[in-house]
Amino acid sequence: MTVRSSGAFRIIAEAILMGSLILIGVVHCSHMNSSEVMLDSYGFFSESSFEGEKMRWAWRESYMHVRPQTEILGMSVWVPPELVQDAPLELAVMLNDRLLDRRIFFEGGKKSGYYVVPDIMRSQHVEVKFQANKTYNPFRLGFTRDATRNREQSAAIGDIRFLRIMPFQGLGFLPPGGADELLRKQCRDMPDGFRWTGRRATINIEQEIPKGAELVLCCLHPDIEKQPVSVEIEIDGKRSQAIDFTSHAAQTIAAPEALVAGARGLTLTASRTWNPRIEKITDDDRDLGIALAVRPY
Amino acid sequence: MSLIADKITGLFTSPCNGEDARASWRRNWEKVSSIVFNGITAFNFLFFLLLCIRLVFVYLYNAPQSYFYIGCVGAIAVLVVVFFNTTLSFMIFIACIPLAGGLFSCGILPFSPLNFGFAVLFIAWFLKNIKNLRRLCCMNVKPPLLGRLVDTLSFIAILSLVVTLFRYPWDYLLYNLTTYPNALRNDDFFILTATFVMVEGLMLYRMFTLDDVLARHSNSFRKLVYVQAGIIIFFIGLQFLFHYPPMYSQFYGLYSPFTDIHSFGSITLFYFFTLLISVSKMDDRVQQFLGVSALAVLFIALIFSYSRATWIAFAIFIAVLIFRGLRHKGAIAVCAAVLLGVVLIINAYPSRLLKSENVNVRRFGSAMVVSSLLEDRNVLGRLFWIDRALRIVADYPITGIGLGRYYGNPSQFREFSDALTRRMEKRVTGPAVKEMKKRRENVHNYYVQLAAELGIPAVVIFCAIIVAVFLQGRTLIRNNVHKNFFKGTLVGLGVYLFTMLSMQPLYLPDQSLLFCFFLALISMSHKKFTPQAACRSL
Repeated sequence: MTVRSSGAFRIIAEAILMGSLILIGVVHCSHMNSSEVMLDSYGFFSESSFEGEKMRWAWRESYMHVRPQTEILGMSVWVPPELVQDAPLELAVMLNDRLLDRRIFFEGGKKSGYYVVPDIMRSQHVEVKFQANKTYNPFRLGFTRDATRNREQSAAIGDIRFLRIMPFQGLGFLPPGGADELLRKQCRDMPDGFRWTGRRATINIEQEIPKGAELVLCCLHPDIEKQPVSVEIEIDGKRSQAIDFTSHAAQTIAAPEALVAGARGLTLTASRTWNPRIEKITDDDRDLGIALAVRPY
Repeated sequence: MSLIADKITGLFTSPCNGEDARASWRRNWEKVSSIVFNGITAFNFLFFLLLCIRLVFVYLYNAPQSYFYIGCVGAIAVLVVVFFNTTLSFMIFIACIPLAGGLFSCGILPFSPLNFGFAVLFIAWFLKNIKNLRRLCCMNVKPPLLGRLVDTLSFIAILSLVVTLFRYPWDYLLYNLTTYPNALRNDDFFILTATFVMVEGLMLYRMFTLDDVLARHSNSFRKLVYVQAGIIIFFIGLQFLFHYPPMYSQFYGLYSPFTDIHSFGSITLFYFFTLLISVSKMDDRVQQFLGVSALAVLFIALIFSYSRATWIAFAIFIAVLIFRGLRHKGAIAVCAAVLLGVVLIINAYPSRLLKSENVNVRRFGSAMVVSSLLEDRNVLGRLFWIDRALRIVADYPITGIGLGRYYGNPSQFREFSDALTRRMEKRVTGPAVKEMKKRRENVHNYYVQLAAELGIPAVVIFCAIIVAVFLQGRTLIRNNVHKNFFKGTLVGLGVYLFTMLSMQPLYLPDQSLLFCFFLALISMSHKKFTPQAACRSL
């Protein structure tokens, strides 16, 4: 079949092509103006496997959109030792532009973090953003001969995970470290069995707070007198109260029974954290928020 | 302003003396369409020039010192050769496409230099033809509709790229555009690589069909297919005999000089069928011997490709060729019955194949035994990937989500449709379905993936291009212009397009360039050997 180029077929074909182009242009414009999530993530490079988990290398700033499945979200971060050999890496995690955590990494390796954020279940998509204070180019610095890694990258970040069950021992509490002794010395009212939180931690109410119990809180920020620390308390995502700390003295609060009854998680959020290693007080490299102990009735 | 208004109104002229209204309307339409499409062609050329300049700059800027000097010398050499002899430079480039892939797969080069090489070649060609830009963009001549289809597809891809890039924050966009040359498929900016790969193929086609100097040497370019086949056979031999580079699975899974077993299978099938039909009609004994030897090597390579889609495509096309060759209806019926019988026997007693100690036989068995095929995780996975792609098409039917963005597994399409999940949970366990949701994968069907990433209009245009080229090829065959070669090429392209139902080879630069070169070869020969037909046909 030979088709005449000057015939009606050609005109129809050209008209269809032009029509398609106009349609495509109009639809692109409408997508630009709509609030639809077209950009799923940005600031990520190719993935590598770390301790059995696939993670994507991130740029200085990166974000990803996720569909919340539960109110407990978590992620793993791989900090390359090369990146922190001169100075620590500071990584801020933000949820819908709200600061969720700020961690300082002195050593390389895989770290995980979990956060209870009940209000994320209200939206279809949430934006999890990561901001690193430094990047490095592994190819240019000679750490790899792989030319595809000729790029400025910070840490590698795993997929966002969602936990269905709150762990017995809560979430966001730090393992014991050098600052514990300091707390015992400076804050004598603190009962034994205290735990340090990061910027944000959640207690499993059912498992850890018996009826009528009290919570003992203490902050050890070195500059607390000049810059008070505010601790916000939420119960299942609802703001319960806020406490301001202007000294290293412990404060005791009674667990509000009416709210605690039937509730799952009590979340404490410190307005800021401090790092004993950066402050040159101890070798403890944890980012400390609040020391917390539960004193039974 | 008034000058512009005069120009616009001047476009639409009233009927001249003796001209009816219909002819006048047609003349006006041709003017408008030529302005629109010539504008698109010019935009494509200029935008692609910018992409090429960016690529060359970023490659050289980021290369280690030794590669920087090699790259500079190479770029200058290409510029010089193009200025003195465009045809020679294009011939060297086309012949070297498999060579570049082979050197990369063997680890001799740290990255494939194809994109860099093509960018330099395009810049040089553009600079040489800058005086003829107006003519190249068809300002004065009425181009074939096929050219307009190709330009429209390029334009859609470029438009999608531009729209997507504007969504990124400026600092990140600038960083990626200026410093990061190797966006991989996991990277955000893979859209840049994917678009470049697609458009470079289409640009290669346009360069061949627009440049009369190149079109004049279509016969020489035709012979390059044999040179490419020779280079591919060399690398196959290197991998098969010396395991350099190591095969995919110890003794199976050839892929050199390409990057994976599936794209290797697709392109090897193309060369196999092209050679098969060309060689079968050759008179020269030496040529016949060389051709048959090459076919034998390619056949062994196909067996050891370890790609089931390749085997299935090979079996189907060989069967069709045999049936066409037999002519006698009784013989066809007997052959069909024998083939069907073999398949039925294999399916009735599958354990001999599926439990064989030979990995290749087990793999072959899993392709032949229907029950095994239905349980296969890779096959079921493809249903999931296609399901995800179809939901993207349903949400973005006109524009798609941007070339190369499917692989990133966008969160809003991560869930599979309920019906498919329910059906699949009977065959695969829950954790496997969960794993598939998280997994980043291609659709494993080029057409569906193209629809998801660039929209349905792009797929329709792509198919229209293929149909138009096949019509041109048929005209060549009917006019006895290198009849056997083009018959072989068309069958080869047919197999290649068939394999794209379960693969996506055109996302790789070497495959995209080779595929578009074969299309261009047909169009060039059509333009040269059937000038009258060219005026009348697509």
